[in-house]
Amino acid sequence: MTTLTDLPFQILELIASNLSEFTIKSFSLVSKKCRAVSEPEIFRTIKITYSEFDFNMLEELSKSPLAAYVKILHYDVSELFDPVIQDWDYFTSCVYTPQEYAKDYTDFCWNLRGNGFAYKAIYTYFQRLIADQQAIMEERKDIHAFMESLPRLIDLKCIKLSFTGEHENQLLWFSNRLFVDSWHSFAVHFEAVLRGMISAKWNGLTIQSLEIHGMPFRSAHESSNILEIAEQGLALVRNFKLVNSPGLLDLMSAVTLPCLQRFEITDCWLLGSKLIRFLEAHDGIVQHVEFYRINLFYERFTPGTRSSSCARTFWELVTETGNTVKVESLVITPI
Amino acid sequence: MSSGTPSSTITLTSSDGVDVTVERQVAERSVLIKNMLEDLGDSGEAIPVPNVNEAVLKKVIEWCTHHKLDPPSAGDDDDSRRKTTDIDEWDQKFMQVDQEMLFEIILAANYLDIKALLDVGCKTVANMIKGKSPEEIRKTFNIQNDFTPEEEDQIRRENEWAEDR
Repeated sequence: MTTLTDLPFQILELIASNLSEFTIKSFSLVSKKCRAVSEPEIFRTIKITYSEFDFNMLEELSKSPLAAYVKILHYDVSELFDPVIQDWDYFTSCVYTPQEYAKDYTDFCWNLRGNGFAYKAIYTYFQRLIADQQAIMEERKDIHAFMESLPRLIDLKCIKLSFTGEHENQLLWFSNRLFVDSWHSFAVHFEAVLRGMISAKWNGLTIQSLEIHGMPFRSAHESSNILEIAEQGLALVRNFKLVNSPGLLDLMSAVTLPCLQRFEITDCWLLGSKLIRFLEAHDGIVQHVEFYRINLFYERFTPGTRSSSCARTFWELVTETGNTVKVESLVITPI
Repeated sequence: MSSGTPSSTITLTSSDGVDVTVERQVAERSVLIKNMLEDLGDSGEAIPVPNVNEAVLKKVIEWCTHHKLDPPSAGDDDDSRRKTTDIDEWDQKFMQVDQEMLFEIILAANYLDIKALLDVGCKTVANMIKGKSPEEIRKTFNIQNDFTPEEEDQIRRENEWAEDR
């Protein structure tokens, strides 16, 4: 009698490919054969956050046989705490004053049902979080983990860096007093990714795709350090996708990606001139450009003879109306 | 029948030696048989199907008859096809068979190269696994747990590394 585990491996793989992520983890615990079938699906995408636990996990995974299955690395990051809030005087005067605490306690006492936290406990909570963050920052454990691990993920095709800001503390009304500015936080995380990509490149690996999600803000000034690292780290990138991240266009216009074939930009508002600058910087390199759900503000612009064909085509297609235009879906394939 | 238009029916011989006559268009849902017919020409001889017994072959023919006018299936590596375990209502009823028959149909679809049937079979099994704990899956399919408790712990830990999407 034929049973499930008598089926050939490739058929079991096909069955596993139809399972949800939750179910496939369950299936992988059934037997050794089920485990072997499930591993490539389970470890196709791994997700890490900015935490010592996750960096250790990444290093451990990269040393295991499972490393061979990883195709997508999702680095889900948030804003960094401002270390200065560790200082008791600063905390009590600039972050969350005892008066604000007293008002919150009165306002929310019914919701808290007598289970509110003491003021000192709130301070201690943040102090501990910042101490954890500082422990990573001081030794740049993030950079170390990326540099050590990425060269061992031999089939890694894509890195997805999402700056989602899903930090639970961002829901607090005084959260704007807790964190350093978005660009600074992003630059720290981006640097770790870039250094990992450089390390992978040195070891003969090509990470073809980079996706950046949720970085709408632009930097006040591009430091030459990040430009230099980006130039090296992104030298082999062929597919580049920006999702709600127009803030990156300036940086990417200054750093030409020599192997870029496909550029995708989605879900954002942006200035036409920024986009044109990026397209001009990659004239003759990029072969496929996709726009989805873009709201474009544009200044008056007359394409010159030196403009790239991609920029001219884009402009011909979008300068029909007013000063803003919504681009739902547009694909340009420059010759 | 050695020249002119191809005959409208062909004969398949199952692994237990039973001849089954079937419309050519129906049989050509199988890429294996289609290629054999193209290679061998229209000799009128029965085509042996050594890996499939009569009962399974008849079930496969039933499926192919119902789907004979379907467009050819697209590439099988399309990711969008994955993770959807929706099955057409007729196919769901067709797959209401005992486990042994279900696995035999899957094996036959694989051997005969009928991608759409293979896909329906795999999705049916995936639906039987859906939402179950490891122990429930073992019970459903009569599978022996060959892990030690230490190995199970290690797997649970490793699974935490993977993204829950």
